[in-house]
Amino acid sequence: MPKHRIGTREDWQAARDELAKLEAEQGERNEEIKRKRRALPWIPVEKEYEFDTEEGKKTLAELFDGRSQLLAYNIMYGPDYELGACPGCTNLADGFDGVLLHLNKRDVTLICFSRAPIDRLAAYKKRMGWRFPYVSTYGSDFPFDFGLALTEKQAEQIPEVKEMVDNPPEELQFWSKQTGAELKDGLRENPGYIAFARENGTVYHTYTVTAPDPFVSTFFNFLLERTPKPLPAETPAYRKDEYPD
Amino acid sequence: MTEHRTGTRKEWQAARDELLAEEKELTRRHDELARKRRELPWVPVEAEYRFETAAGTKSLADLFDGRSQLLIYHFMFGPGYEAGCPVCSSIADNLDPNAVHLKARDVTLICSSRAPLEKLQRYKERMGWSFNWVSTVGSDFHTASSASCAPRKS
Repeated sequence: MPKHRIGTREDWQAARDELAKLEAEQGERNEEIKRKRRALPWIPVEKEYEFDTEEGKKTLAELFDGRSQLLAYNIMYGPDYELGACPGCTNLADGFDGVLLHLNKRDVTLICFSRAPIDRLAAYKKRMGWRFPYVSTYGSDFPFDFGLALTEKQAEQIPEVKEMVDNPPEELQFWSKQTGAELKDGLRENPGYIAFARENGTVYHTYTVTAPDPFVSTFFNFLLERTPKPLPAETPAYRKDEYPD
Repeated sequence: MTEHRTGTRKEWQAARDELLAEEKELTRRHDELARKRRELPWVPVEAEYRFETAAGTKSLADLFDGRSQLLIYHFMFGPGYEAGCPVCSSIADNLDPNAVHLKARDVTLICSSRAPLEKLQRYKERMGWSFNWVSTVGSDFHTASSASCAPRKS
């Protein structure tokens, strides 16, 4: 017998109906926040940025690839990562190919950014079997201007970051081994989504969301919220080709 | 120019911070719901169900494939359909890349539909999917688990 409370179908249905009410309330609240998110002011991007892509240099406007919306996920993969991107970000990016076509058909170009040089991004993309465009922000002010990366100086001035670098918990030490990055460098990348709109030749920054936020999460974590057993909090992330058995 | 309200970085940041507080509150409630969801009573499944799969007829316990949790997406593909529901199809496009990560977390992810297995297999091949897709043809699994609108047997 399981340790979990068991019940009859009727018990379950009554509890499920009760939960459904709360879920519906949460859904309504979510819709309200979605409206507010869309009402944020847009900020024209006036500075010129250039990015290294697999097809050569591109401007921010060119990254839209002809569509009017650009959604980018910033994968933690800094120039100092010797062994590859953050495994958690890698897991998240594993889900992008499934939605790529569907977003493209809805006027949204989905890409990923990282700060490591483009040849390393291209090699890692190949290893992971990804198809989405992977763009390097190496040598650009872009990630610093938009809060996607911290300078060494900024990192030193943030007490939370300094604490993680000076007294890293076990999971961060493991993460440092997985990425081949010292934490003082590795923790300078900020994982999250950044959104832009393009209208009449102008590019606007519209939204940024960074971890920790439930939106900056894998699709499988969303599914795991519906499975019976909670995951232990310290469960490490592994790249899909590195799971221990 | 755009018809959307534009602003300075400062204005955006102020509006963003305000929204962030609301997003955090939503997250807090979200986590609370996740806890409540896990507190639902478990209901023992006593009926014997049979599923048609690529590896022959299987019981519900067999579908766990050795893991302790089974998550099924019920895919709208009834016996009379010529092809799967387009929305379900775009949801299913997300399953393969995530299945390996769920497997490693003791969860087997599969799809089930009421159409005969042969139809499901043809469609799966067309879409390039590799998840296990089982047919409940001839079983009342979907009606019993409320995953079908068909009238319940009295």
